Amino acid sequence: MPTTVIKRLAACVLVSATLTACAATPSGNDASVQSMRDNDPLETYNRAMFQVNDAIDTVLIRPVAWTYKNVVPGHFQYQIDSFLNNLSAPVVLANDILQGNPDRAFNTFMRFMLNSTFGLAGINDFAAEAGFPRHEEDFGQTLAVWGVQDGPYLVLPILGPSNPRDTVGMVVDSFLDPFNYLARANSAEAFPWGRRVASGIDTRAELIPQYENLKEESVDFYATIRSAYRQRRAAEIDNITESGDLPEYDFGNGAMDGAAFDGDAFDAPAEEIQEGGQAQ
Amino acid sequence: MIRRFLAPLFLLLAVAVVAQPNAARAEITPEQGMAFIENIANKGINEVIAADVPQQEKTQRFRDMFLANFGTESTARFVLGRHSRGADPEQLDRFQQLFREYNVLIWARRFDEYNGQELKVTGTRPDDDKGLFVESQVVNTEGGEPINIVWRLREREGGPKVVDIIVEGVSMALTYRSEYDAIISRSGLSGLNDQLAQKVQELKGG
Repeated sequence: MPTTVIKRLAACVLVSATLTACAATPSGNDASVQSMRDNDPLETYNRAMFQVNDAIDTVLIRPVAWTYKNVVPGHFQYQIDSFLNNLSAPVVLANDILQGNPDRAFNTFMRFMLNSTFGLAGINDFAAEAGFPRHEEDFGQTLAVWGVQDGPYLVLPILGPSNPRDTVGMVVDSFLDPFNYLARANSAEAFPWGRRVASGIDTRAELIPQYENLKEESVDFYATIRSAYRQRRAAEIDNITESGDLPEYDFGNGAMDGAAFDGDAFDAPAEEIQEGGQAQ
Repeated sequence: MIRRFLAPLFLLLAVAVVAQPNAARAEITPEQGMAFIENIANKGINEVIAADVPQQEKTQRFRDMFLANFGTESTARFVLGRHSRGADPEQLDRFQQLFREYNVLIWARRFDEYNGQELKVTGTRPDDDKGLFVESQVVNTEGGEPINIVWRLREREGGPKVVDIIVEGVSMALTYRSEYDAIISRSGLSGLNDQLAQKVQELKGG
């Protein structure tokens, strides 16, 4: 049973994460102070897992994604992308509702209806042209809207950057998905896995060449991804493109620059980390 | 006695507090900001990215444009954050130069990826009283979803300058800041400078 496997995997990750977090109680040296500021108490494990993921990406995932991107005609890629997106619509809809956002829920509902019919089972994003643009929601975002903090940074095997909140969200999403139940009822147990792999390849292909560029260019690739992941999640949670809220930070002005950094909103998370640390 | 001594100080402080917002207030109007970004986009595409000149010439043209329109000094200072205080001026200077060149080179590498996209300026928002956000979208001519890009502007040296670019919610300055913070904490500003210098060399060679 695939879901059991996911559950067990998630449980293992969470348990080991908590254990390691407890083991890595700050001892007051520079490295642990830095880890607290980065909200990354598991940095040693995370960096190792990041390396493993990157190695798997280099030998397996990227070659497949590259082949997909360069061999499969663009038109089919668009259809596959649309089809996979349409499959995720029920989960997006559920999260729109759970977040108390009727406008978005209506939008997703219309998208699913239009694309499943006129869009020929989702292979065309007919709805986007009809004025219902696509958006993403997941249960990790729903938890955030409900006020759940993200917790420490966590690199998951193969799945990559995450945190306890988003990991739980991912598991919940798989339970929210009617297609998973449909597949099980029809003994098509490979379906959820096939779909997950397809989504992974599709997403990875879209990141060529950005991922490679970033990897070559950054001085500390791990820290870059960690920061970008968090900012991106924060933007997704705020539905940033709609509300237009931007992170507050201060570029300072002239002679005030040095002082301005002290009041910088981005130094604030360190306190939250300490609170989180005490809670454990 | 003390009060008499302090009174002028308070007065000075009051003047400074009142004058500060005025001095700091951005003189960038929304129209000016939008025109500024549109101009950068047009020049960038026509005279640099899509121009029919060798890559080396493109990079040089981009460097000129970048230095003229980006407030890299402010960005670099923000990126260093708390590490800029009490740092060796020589290392700070070195960082400023390396950071600038590094940015020129990584953008220059991306010119090849240009595929007819267009940048549409969609609006502006005030950035408190300090500057202006200009919102824009990169529209792919072959379809696909537009990418949201927000430009953060500050008045510097008598004109608007870009101090940050926020792509789909990810701020470049903040990402650099977070990345460099990790390195400086491990190996100091001189360590970061050495690593940046190496990157710059690699990017030049590649």
